[in-house]
Amino acid sequence: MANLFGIAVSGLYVAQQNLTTTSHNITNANTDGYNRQRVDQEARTPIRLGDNYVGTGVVVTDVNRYYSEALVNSLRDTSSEYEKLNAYQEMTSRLDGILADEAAGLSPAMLKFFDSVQDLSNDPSSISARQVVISSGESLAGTMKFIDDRMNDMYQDIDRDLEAEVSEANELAQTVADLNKQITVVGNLPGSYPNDLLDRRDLAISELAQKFDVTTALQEDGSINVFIGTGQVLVYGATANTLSTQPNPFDNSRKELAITTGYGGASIQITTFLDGGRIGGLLEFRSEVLDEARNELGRVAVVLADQMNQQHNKGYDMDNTLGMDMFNVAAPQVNNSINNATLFYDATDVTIADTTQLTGSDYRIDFDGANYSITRMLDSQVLATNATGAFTVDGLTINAPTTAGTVPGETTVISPTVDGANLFEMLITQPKDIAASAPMVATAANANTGTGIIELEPIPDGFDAAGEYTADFATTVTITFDDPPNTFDLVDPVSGTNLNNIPFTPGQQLPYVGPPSYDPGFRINLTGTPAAGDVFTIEPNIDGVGDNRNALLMGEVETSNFILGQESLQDAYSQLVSDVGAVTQRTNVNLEAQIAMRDNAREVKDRLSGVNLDEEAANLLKYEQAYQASARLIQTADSMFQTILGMLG
Amino acid sequence: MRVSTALLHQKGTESLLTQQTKTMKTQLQIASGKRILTPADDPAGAAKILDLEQAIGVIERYQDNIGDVESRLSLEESVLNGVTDLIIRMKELAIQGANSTQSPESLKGILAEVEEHSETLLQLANTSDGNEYLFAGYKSKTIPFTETAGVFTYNGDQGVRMTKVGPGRQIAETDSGFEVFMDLQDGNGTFTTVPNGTNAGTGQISVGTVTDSTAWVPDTYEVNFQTDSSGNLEYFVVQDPGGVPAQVSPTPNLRASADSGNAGSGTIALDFAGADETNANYYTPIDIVFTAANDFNIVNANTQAVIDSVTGYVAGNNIFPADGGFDPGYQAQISNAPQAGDSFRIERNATSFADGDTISFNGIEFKITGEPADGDTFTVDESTNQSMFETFKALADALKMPQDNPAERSIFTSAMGKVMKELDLALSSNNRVQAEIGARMKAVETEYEANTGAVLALKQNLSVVQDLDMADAITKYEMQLVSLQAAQQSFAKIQGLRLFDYIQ
Repeated sequence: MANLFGIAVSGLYVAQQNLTTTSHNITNANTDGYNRQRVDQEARTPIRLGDNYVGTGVVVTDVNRYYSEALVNSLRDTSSEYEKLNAYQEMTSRLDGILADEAAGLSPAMLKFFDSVQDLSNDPSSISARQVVISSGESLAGTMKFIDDRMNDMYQDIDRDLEAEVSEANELAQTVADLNKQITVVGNLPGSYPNDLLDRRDLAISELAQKFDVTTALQEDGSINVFIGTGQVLVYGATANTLSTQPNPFDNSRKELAITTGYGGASIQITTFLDGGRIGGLLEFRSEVLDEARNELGRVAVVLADQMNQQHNKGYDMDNTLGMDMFNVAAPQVNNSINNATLFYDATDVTIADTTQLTGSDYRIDFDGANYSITRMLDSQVLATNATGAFTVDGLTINAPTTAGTVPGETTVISPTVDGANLFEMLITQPKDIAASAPMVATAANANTGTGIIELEPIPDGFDAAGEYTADFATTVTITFDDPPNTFDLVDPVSGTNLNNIPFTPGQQLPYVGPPSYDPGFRINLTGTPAAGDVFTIEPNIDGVGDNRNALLMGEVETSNFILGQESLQDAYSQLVSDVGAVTQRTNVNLEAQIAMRDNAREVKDRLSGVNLDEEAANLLKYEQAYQASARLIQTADSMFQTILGMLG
Repeated sequence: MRVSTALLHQKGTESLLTQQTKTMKTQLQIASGKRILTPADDPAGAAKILDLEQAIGVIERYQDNIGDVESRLSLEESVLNGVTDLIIRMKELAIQGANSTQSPESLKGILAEVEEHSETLLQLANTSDGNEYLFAGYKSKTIPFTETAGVFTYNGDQGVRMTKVGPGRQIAETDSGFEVFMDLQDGNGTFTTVPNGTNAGTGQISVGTVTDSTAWVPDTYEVNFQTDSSGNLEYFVVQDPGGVPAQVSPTPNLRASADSGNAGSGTIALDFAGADETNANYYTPIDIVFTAANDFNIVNANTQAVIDSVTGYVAGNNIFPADGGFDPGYQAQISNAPQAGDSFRIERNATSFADGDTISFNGIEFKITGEPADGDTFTVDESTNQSMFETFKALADALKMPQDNPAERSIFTSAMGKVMKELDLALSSNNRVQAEIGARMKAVETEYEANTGAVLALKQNLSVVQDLDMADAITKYEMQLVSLQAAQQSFAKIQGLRLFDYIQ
């Protein structure tokens, strides 16, 4: 009889446990990271009665989670990759939007600027046409700056995001460490591990994985160690190391990630080791997309400014002086590592020799203790190695460093076009300073009896160097035809020497070149038949305000294939827009795929571990019935007992 | 397969959101009419749109330029039409003025009108479009033509402004004043013919023409008239009379003849091998007067003074140098048997002249009419630059010439002939510039058509890349709406199914 009571009570007890667990499941149906639990029960050890074993009821052996480490890891990894792509996509779409904006985009601003140059060539003497060139140049500069500012905003947002993510990651790491401690303490008690603490730790780790990729190692004492990057310890047992943001060694306005190990350990920069998660996505976007886009935009700005300047310098303004620079050309940024012992390139050590050869890449100079080598960072190609540290690569002239390196591993990074768009600026403020006319004018003398016509043809690749064409415009070159008129004489404007009997064939272009080093920057085009004694003069174009020759040439800058000899400015900008668009498109596709993978992993895990309320409702009924049945057993035992008592009574 | 309640809920929500996002995107596409909302929708297409828009912008700019060019060219054309009218009127006035029936008073009236028109020409040449002078070349703010004391100066330059009207196509939108008004020639464009102001005869010279331009040697020539011993009027032409004179017509430049009264059978022949025209005695007319069968004197035909003599002459031998060393720079031989008293003459060769004869040499020809006197000369010179203003002035100057006697009238008539030719040249030069303008306007029009075609093609291209297929998009939109509704309804249904609802 007592046995019957015991069995009934064990049944009640187990049913109660089951009901409790079911309730726990029901209430945690929407709890993040919760794995449904079940009560493992078994029949109690039977007792031997005579020759037979008689059951003694039921006992709870364990309360377990429906849990699979493989499924949890799979969800964690896919979520980490999802977060990375999500951050990447968020940023690329933003950049995409900035570049595509029809109103604020660079394309319409460039078109408007060249419209104004064209209008100037139609009416070069008009002050208002000149004013429009200035103001459309200013608004082009404004657009450049606007786009660059938006990119800069993105850098700052990424930095802020990194800080916020790092501080959350630190808290999560601390949570994991704390939970490790609790779990190991509790786990040392007899019985099983506390399921809900394990869930919470798993949740914390998977939230960490949403910041960056983590790997975990389960220890025998039940604690989990967490590693990041290439094996840097984030959590070891009950200890969490601290992540922080630090300035980039080359550019202190840029934040990098570092980890500081406990016990006064040094901090190590781990930016380049991190992958996955939101932080991984942000860092990858910054180095793969944003840096390149800003360099590329800068390149368009630098080439545009430089080419316009070169052409503008060749013209005469309304004051009869050669044109000044029209736009500011940003100088390359030179960033020496703060860790360099001695290696130091001054900003003046690096100049752009030929803007059309620029690539839009950054360059890194490494010193190995004896030699310097320069690497184009876009394609990681080592371009040159030498002992002086002076290089001529991709349109850049790099002088030997102001202070040479001494210790292996010293580095300097050069960003030729990073400031291009930001520092792009219209320098002309006075309409009269626009050089629309050519500096020289060719004239056939009134008394000429022949039919010769003289024209000046600018050399296609422009005037050679500034020193050369300032010298020759001050003087008048006079060409006098000899008798018979198949040769001519002239006085070299630089050396002052007479150059006699230069052969002439009608219609032939005369490559008038003085002393070996002297090239005036134009060719004389004489057609027709000059007569003996005919005189042609080439002289400064004083007050030639109706001359539009230089304005026409400035207009050519728009469509000429300057960039590496094969792309126009518009091509280069279209390429940038298209590249960012392609990255965004690819990221969108990858993100879709990753969402599907993550959902799949979550679904598979949920199939095992998720709470289904209908199921729990059914269980509730089941265990309620079990409880009622066990209670009925007690009643039965009781009535049995009463029966016996009644017999006695 | 079991599904957790939370997942069921999440899945339902997610599918709703996905459907909504898709619907919203299609809706945005329909609202904007554009297929590509951000470059990510079609990166290559987005780049193509930028390129196409730039290409369209560039060509539309050419179209604007063409408008500018056309208005400039038509302004220039209207000015040149005015110039044409002026030249024609001047020509009429010249014809009237040249008429011998004009009285001094009527000539004054004509002169006044000529001077008035000269003023007008200057004004036309200085036409401005309100901002720039039309004919100043690049110096478009500098007044191009000024006159000081009858001298016309061009202050502009020879620059011609080009405008882009198509890809790789530039058109001149101006012509320099140098080309239009200054770069003209006097005379007939190759040479000028002018009678000497002191001519006593009534010879008039025409402006002449070029018959063979390759034979023409630009230089100064002089037509000289003289009467021969028998009183016939004849002429010869000398090149470079002020320098090293050389007779170009007739050739040979000397002639030799036996006196008609000679008794002997002697004949004379000239030999020009190694002839030196610059010899001071070359053109001295000489008589060879035989004193015996083998002896003769050399006598100046004009003065009859004996210059030199030859004795023991063998017929057929060279005469020069004579015994005293006289050598005129050519060679002559007397053959057969002259007798004492026979004489032979060597003198400058000349062509006999009759009123209206055509004189030609070195590839040019001209006529001299009337009766030139012995010693009259006419100068033929290569043309030099003469601006249109100077031509107008030349007419005024000609009209002021004295006409008091036939000789003066002849000079006046020659001058008027020259000016009329120069006016013709000015007219044809002006017509040529006008024709060029016409050709340019035609070219610009063709370019405009071509550009319009190109823009149309590019815009079609742009439309293909950029524009949304509306029918397609609306169909898609409808379908997405249906899917969205279905998702909403099924979500609501599934959320309504709970076992707890049935447990009482």
